[in-house]
Amino acid sequence: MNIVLVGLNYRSAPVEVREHFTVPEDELEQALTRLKETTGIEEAVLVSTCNRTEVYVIADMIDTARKDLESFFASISHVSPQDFRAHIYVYTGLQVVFHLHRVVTGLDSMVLGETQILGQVRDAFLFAQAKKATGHVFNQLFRDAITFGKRVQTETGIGQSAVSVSYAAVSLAKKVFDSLHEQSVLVLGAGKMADLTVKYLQSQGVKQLFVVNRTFARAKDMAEQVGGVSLPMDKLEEALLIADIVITSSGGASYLITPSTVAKRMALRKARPLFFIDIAVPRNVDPSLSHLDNVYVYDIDDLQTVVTSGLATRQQEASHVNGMIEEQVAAFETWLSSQNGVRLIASLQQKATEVQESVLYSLFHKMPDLDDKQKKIIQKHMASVVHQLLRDPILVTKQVAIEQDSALLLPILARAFGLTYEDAMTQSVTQEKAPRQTKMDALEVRGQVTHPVTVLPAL
Amino acid sequence: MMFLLSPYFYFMVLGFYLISNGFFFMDFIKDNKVANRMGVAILLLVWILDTLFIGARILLLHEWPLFSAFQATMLFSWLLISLSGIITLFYRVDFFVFFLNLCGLLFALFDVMVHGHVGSGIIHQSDLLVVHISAALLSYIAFSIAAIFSLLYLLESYSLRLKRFDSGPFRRLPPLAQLDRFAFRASLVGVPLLFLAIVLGAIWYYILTGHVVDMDAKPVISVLLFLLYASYLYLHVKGKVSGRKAAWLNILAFVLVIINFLVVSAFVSSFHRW
Repeated sequence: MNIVLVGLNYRSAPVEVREHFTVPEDELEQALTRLKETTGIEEAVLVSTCNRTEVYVIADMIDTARKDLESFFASISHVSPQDFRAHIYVYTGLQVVFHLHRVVTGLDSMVLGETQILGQVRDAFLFAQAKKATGHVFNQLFRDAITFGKRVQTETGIGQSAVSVSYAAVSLAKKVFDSLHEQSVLVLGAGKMADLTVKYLQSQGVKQLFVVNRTFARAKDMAEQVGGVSLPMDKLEEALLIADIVITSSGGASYLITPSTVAKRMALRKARPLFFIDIAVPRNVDPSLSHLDNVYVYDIDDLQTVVTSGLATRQQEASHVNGMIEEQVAAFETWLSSQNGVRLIASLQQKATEVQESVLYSLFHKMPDLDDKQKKIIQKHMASVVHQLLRDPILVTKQVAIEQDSALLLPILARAFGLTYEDAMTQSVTQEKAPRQTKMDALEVRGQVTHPVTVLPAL
Repeated sequence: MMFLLSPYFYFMVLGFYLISNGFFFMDFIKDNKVANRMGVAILLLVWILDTLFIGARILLLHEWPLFSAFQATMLFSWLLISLSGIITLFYRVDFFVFFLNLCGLLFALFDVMVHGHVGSGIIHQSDLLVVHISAALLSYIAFSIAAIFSLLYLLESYSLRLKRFDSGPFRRLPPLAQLDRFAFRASLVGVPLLFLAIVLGAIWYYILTGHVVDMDAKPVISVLLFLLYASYLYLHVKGKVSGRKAAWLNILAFVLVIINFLVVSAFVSSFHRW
């Protein structure tokens, strides 16, 4: 069993390459089915976003899986492997676990610490799980990773600080106002930067939007575009009574909004704060306005400072998150090692059951006069003997499986049990639950025969 | 069990309280989450020890913790720790626990310094007095909470104004509007409780002495306090005071609360010993 990842992202491939590999939502099922049906692939999860396409698989052989996944990429993109080989990356084993944890925490994202990717990975996993493309390894790995991603979001500040000017403007506003849903926005001037900030504010659900511009026609155009109300320039002072957030990006060498204008209005606003984002250069809002109570003024440099500080915070948190990821990977490695023990124990139990059933079959044939009660007593005692004999070897195997040199010790144990280690490892733990047809099945009469040893799917 | 009643036990609790506040202070200054967790853990220990201390005095000495300055301060600190835990369960506000417990600690330390020992109270007081003391104590707790929200408001407001985007108050505190609302609501709870305490105190005094309360410092400052908080509420509702001015007014009123609770009772009032 090998964990293999083949993928490409914004770092390994430019957008003109990446765009060929994006799997549309309506083609996801088909793509996943194709992966699932590939010989040698036991489990698969396909993550496809605008910045990355990654295929996670559990495969018998790494090299074969790599080739199969290259063919898969070629089929979804209609690009030949030699043309995209330089853009893809391949990870195996614990590298995949490490990478997945970096992805869900946003450490591998274009915007460090962004949180959207966690939802995308979760959706991809749930989709694969619903289509029965995952098994117990990926169920464990992805659940752990998603839970970890959520933990990182709540316990660290990696996704909280602003990393763009528009985001910075909104986060500053959120420091003053309880909820942006109740706030009205006034836009003074119709610059491109203001447009971006307004759109971002709109996405946060502001109540009302007013646009004021020297040229009323332009104000009208912008108001129509953003779904706001246009006002002529001479209504600016009145608009300052209604608005809570003012975004300015108008031209002109002198201040358009001065302390004397605002002080008069503040007296009438009845304790409502007034928040200015001045994106214009030269500035439209007199910075001395911030001396007034309940008035907050920020210019483009302030927003840039917020962004720089936000990026620094995220970088700082990233190193902390990296440490947390290493712990997660170590924990998963322990779990994965224990699974080899589970497989070996399952093989041992299977062998014991077969021996027990074979002996019982032979015994019952040689003693045909035994009644059902006697048979049941013999079965019960035989099961008890087998169970007691296996108890210590199972405990030792469980212990050895999580030790550092388990890779060396487990094959020795397998040999001591008279089992072939490689055969035991190919045994799928989940498949063990399926009922087996044995000689004893013939002897099972209305549930009188109880299987003495149950194959355990997990430790 | 007797150890629970000894002054040494109380000083040990105060010691832990001091250490807990030290950790919260470290978190406040250095933005240290580990220190915060340590502070919370030790505060929990303080709460348990404080509960044992109060519980032992009730069970063994049959003393309700209301009838001496020491007991009231002890109960006040215990209530502050409990409240900070309950409030944090429902709505986490960084630094709130620190300032609230700093307030509790300062009250407790002041009391120990002034009275110097673990004092006993006068038992078997009338029900009227019990309600009077309880209402006054609860109003002081509400005013403490209000003052702390106002203080947090000022910290965040100055961070925003001075553009300190790296500072803890900027990054870790909720919006100003929320802090202002919490301060207002806490004061709204405190004012009727204080009114009740003043009225019941006056009635109790009349029943006891047959005289109406005279111009003693305690009732005078209590009434002043009531008027100050009532004005704060009125001006806030009318929108005549808001933002930093409202926060400063609230903090100023709380300074009067401290004076009234600690200084006036201990040194100025002729009949109200605490």
